[in-house]
Amino acid sequence: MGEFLDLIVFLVLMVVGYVAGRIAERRHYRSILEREKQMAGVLVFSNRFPPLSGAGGQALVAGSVVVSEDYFKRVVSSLQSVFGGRLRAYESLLDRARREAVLRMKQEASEQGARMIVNVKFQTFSIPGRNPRSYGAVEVMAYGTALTAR
Amino acid sequence: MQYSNPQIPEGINVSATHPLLDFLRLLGGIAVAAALVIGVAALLADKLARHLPFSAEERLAARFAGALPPPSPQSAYLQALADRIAAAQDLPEGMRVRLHFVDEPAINAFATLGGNIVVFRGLLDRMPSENALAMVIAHEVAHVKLRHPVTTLGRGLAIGVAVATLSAGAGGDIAGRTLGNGGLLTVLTFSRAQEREADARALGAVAALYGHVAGADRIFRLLGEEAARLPLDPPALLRTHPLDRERIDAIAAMAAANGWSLAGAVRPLPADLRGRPPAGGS
Repeated sequence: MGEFLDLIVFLVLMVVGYVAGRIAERRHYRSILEREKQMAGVLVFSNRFPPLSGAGGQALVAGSVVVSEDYFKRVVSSLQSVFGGRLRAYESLLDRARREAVLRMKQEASEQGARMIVNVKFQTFSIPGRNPRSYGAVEVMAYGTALTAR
Repeated sequence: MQYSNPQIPEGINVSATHPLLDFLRLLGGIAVAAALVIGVAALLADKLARHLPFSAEERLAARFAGALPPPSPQSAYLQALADRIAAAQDLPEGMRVRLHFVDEPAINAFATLGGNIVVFRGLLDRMPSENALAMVIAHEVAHVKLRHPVTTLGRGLAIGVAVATLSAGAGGDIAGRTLGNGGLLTVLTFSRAQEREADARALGAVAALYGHVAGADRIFRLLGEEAARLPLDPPALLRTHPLDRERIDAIAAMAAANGWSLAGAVRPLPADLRGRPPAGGS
């Protein structure tokens, strides 16, 4: 009986995780694509020094995202970790997180009138740390130096 | 100089594989691997458990001794009968059976770890003769002799450990639960092959004891009648044992093959054995 109940709870979590995860992902990608077009005017470079010797000011800009896996992704990735190989379940999650972080950073830069961000770097941080029984969530932060017009 | 950020095509960092397809593929792989591991573990346990010394099995069973009923006049009678049957079955050195009587109406008897055999009042009440009862006890003694309880426990444990290892984290205490359930408190479920084997040995013991096998199939007829009477609530013995009709036929075939007579004078049970009239009054 206890095992049966466990199975039901597991299946419900799987379905909820899958449906919610899919809807959130589709919605998020739509928003990402739209805002990336809007923010296309703010250029990002990984170069440490500005490509243009502008006379403007500089400002540190950052965009941070915390994103969590859903239950379905968690189960799929734990199964995948048995065999190894591409963790497809997490690829879209991290792709979304990176792009969202860049978008938020660009947003901040754009609000300061910047048209360019240089020395862009990413940093990630696992929220639950190393506890394997905890939930999986990651912070992705993008930061750089915005070159503002003066 | 004009700078620009190129438009990066979609789908570079993300696989197009449908997540459900991905999931099913992984599940299939895991299922195959798990079936293999569990199958091998069960097979090994099956082969190894029967080599566990009987004294070790007795020590294991001693952990559950508190759950056994106290001695009674009925258990003394059953023990005496079982000792004769055990002698007829030629139990190996150091192996002995211990009979217990449970004053409950269930039509049931079972063998479990450490040579412990439990007989319920409901079964005793419905046995028309010593010969019929001897067949039941001989069947349980055969389970003990063939090491079926410990083999079954070993298999259950091996499967439990394999499952727990495979689903590490998800079901860490499955092995503990298997040990708890598989012990003396519940009836171990033997396989059909094990039941057939025990039937054959038991019939041989009954023939050796009485010179004929009259009444030996009584238990299976009784179970068949009970199953017909209570189709929704079959007797416990029937739930774990295969088709009684098949076993009645098997007994007749074995008797014919060995030249054991199916007719003969049956010995009555002692009059004071029955505590009270059978439930249901049939």
